[in-house]
Amino acid sequence: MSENPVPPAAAAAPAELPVLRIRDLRTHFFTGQGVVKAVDGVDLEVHKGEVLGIVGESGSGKSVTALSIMQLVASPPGRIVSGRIELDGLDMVKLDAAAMRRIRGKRISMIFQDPLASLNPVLRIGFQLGEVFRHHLGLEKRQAVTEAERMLRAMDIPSPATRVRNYPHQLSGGMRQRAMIAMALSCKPELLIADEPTTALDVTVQAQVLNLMKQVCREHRTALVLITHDMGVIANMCERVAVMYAGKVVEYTDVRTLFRRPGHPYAAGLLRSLPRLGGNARRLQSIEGQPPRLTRLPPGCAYAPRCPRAQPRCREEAPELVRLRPGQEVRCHFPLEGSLEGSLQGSPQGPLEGALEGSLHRPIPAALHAAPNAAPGAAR
Amino acid sequence: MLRYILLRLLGLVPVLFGVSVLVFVAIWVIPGDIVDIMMGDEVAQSEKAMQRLRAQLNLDQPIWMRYLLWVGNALRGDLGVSMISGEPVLDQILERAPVNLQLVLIAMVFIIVIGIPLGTLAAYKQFTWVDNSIRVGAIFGYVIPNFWLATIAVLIVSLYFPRATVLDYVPFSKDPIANIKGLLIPGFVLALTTLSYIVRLTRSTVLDTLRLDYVRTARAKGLGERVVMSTHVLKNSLIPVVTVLGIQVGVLIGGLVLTEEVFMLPGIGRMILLSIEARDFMVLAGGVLFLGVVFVLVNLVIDILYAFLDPRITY
Amino acid sequence: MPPLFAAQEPAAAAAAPSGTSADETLSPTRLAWRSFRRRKLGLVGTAMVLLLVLVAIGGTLITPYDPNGMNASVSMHAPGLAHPAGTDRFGRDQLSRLMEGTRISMLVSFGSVLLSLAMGLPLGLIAGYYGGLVSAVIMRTEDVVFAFPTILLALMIVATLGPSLINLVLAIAIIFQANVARVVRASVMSVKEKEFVEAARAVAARDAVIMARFILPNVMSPVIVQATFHLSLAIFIEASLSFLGLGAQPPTPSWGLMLNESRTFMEFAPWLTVFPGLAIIFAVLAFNLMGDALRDALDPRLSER
Repeated sequence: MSENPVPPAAAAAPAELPVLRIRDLRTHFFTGQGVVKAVDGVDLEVHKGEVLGIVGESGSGKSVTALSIMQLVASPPGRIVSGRIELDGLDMVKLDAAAMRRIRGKRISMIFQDPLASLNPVLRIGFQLGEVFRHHLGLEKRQAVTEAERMLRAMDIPSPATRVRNYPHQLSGGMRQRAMIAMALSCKPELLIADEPTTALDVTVQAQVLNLMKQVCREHRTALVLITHDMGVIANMCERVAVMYAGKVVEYTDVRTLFRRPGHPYAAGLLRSLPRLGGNARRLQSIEGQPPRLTRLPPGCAYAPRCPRAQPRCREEAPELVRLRPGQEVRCHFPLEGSLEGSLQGSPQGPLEGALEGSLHRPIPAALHAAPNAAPGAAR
Repeated sequence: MLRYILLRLLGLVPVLFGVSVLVFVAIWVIPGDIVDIMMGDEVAQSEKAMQRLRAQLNLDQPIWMRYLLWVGNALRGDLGVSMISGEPVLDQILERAPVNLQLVLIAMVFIIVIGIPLGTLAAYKQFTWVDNSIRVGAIFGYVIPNFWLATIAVLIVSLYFPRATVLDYVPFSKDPIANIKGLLIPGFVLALTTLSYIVRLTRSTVLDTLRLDYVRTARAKGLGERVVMSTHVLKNSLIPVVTVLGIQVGVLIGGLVLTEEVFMLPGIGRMILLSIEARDFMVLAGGVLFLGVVFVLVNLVIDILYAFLDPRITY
Repeated sequence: MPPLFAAQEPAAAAAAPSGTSADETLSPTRLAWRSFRRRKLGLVGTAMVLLLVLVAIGGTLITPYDPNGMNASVSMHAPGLAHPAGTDRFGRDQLSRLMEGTRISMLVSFGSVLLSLAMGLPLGLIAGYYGGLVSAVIMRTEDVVFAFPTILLALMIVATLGPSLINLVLAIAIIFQANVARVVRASVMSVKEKEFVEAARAVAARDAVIMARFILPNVMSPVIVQATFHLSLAIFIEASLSFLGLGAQPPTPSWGLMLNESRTFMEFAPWLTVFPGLAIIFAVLAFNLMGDALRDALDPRLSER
């Protein structure tokens, strides 16, 4: 258990306790091939009504972070080795299984990537949603299904009375994810974790689902942790962003700063690999190389082998997360100083605007500002 | 649903046709002149008797006509008469069928009541000593030949419990309780191979299901492990188990022949064996056809059951 | 019959997120071998199979006595130093007979499996490659074989052909070839749309050449796995039918037949009943353990199921 010298993330430091505070979380998997340090010293904080984005490639540890919060890491082989995960100041790592079950689905909910796989194929939608009410609020089976129907209606799902009697395969992809959101929000949780909630969906319904999530979280002042690899989604949904690489947060800042002046070369790389409306296709850059094997991490900075700015020091000494500017922390010995535009050689648009318009397929920014009721029943 | 059942029934026609052709060809065509074979040792048989038998078996007709006559009679419930006793074959079958039905049902109860819980337990306790002992037991249960186990059971009872009546067959009509008691050990022996297979299958399907996203969702709802297991894992895991159980009925039916032989039970399997010894081809054909058709029908029932279990099946 | 053994649990490592694999430079065969070697039970099974094959090949050269040599002076001797597995009523040494029985078992199982491959492989290849009516005819015919309980079908075939080991081999092969054809057809269908087959077709290679050179090698993994399980099943069927008097005939020392003959005297000479059964268990177990490991190594898709 190593001490992490990094001070708590200095956001706008509101007086109230954060809904979620993670301190030096380490979740490792003990496999035949060695210890996989999937999450290795993560610090995060989310406040009431705030949206925190976690972005990174697959294998960067973002999903394992989410599962660690829920304490749903498959064990064996996985285990939370150290750290604290506080919900309103209560350290959940220390809780026993029964206490944790009272929190899951009630105070913290989670939405997963593939709504079809995440719903039980042989149980009716109404039953599956109703389970939350039965388990946490002690409702009868009948009442629970009625409540489920109410939740579906609140999620703008057409003819909810029929839908509760349907099986998951009878719903469209967008509808399934709405049902998942309904399930997650049934008990008005303080924290909602969404792990790639739109990746498995049609592009046409991605916007609607994101819009719905943003709207309902705003209504209940639910804190939202949004995990994605899509910088466009980050740009549209989040206030603060944590960029993860090889199990560590490499940049932790607000969304504007990230898109205007990213400090970590990896974050900058992610932004450069974004397609931009009006941008030159030839300038689309991908990050060279592969993410490192988590069983055999290099001694220095995990990103060094792929980093265009790597110096000898990067390969020897692992950098710590340090404050670059107020509200921006970067894990890099040689962080980028200037704005991203400079390095993009006079792009016609800044990357943020580009991301807003290019990567998210236009309808989203409009949808985000549209009245919430404007799209009822739009999910096919 | 009705449409689905009707479609499945329709699909039976070619299979049943094939089964009947196979039995017909195997028993009435391949061996050559049946009458010669049947009369075999009894050289003294008069030419007249042989002629009569030939006519009775329609051997003077062309082969396709013989098939049609045979199948036509079978469809009307006429499987011919035993060439030895002169008793109608169907009567013999119906007289013996209850024993087979009882044995298979008892075996099925063992398989379901022991196999599925053990497999689930092993999956739930994966990599613990509980899991390991169940797995080792299931491997041995699977490779132990049922006729050997049956023989050993008879041996043990006769050596150590010479006065026990656990292996005595009593007709159901005479004493139902003694009848079922007498069939418990044979039923278990019959079940063991399939039982072990089901343990392993259940274990692996439960393990597969436990890894699925919707089980994670169920846990994310805050449900307890028992609820997750019973409502979310078990039903899904049982779908493949049910399919395999249908196929395994074939193993059970095959096992009947051996089990009945060792335990001296008056079932159809033993009838078939006796008919082979006696070269009573009418009985052999009738018995094999009957068991084949039963197996096909069992699989139909399993298919329909499957559709009930899995709402994704479109009728 | 379905795959005989339920799937092995995938390695725990599969559940963990990991980076790229270091194994990617190895050939598929090397990979399969490495994965096979890791499974200790599979190695145990393979060693057991090797032992069986050696005993079968050694035959009367290595048996302590003549398997059929009678010696009234040692009739019905219990297991002891001179006769580790005892003797039967003719004074024949049971260990020698069991060893000779290994040869019968191996001949029947390998013979029937090879014969089933000779029948099922071409049928499956043709059905999978041409599809359509050809496939429908072949597969509907095979369905009839599946419509029968295995032992019952073998019983019927042997009963009509006459009880002998050759007929038993034929019966077992007829049953197995349906399984082989089904597995081969499924693999062919998944492989025939692959680029290398398309490419061969584009340069107008003959169908037979495409099947033999490009498709066959790619369907061999499931076929080998299945054949291993068939070997164990064949041992079981041979023993069952010989036990019923419908396979090997006296004085052939088939395990099943020895077991059957022992029943008359089992209360006085239980060793005659016990040892042949253990031999069957040993052989069936050997091929099953090997098959399990082979399947996990060669056909990971199956073991994940």
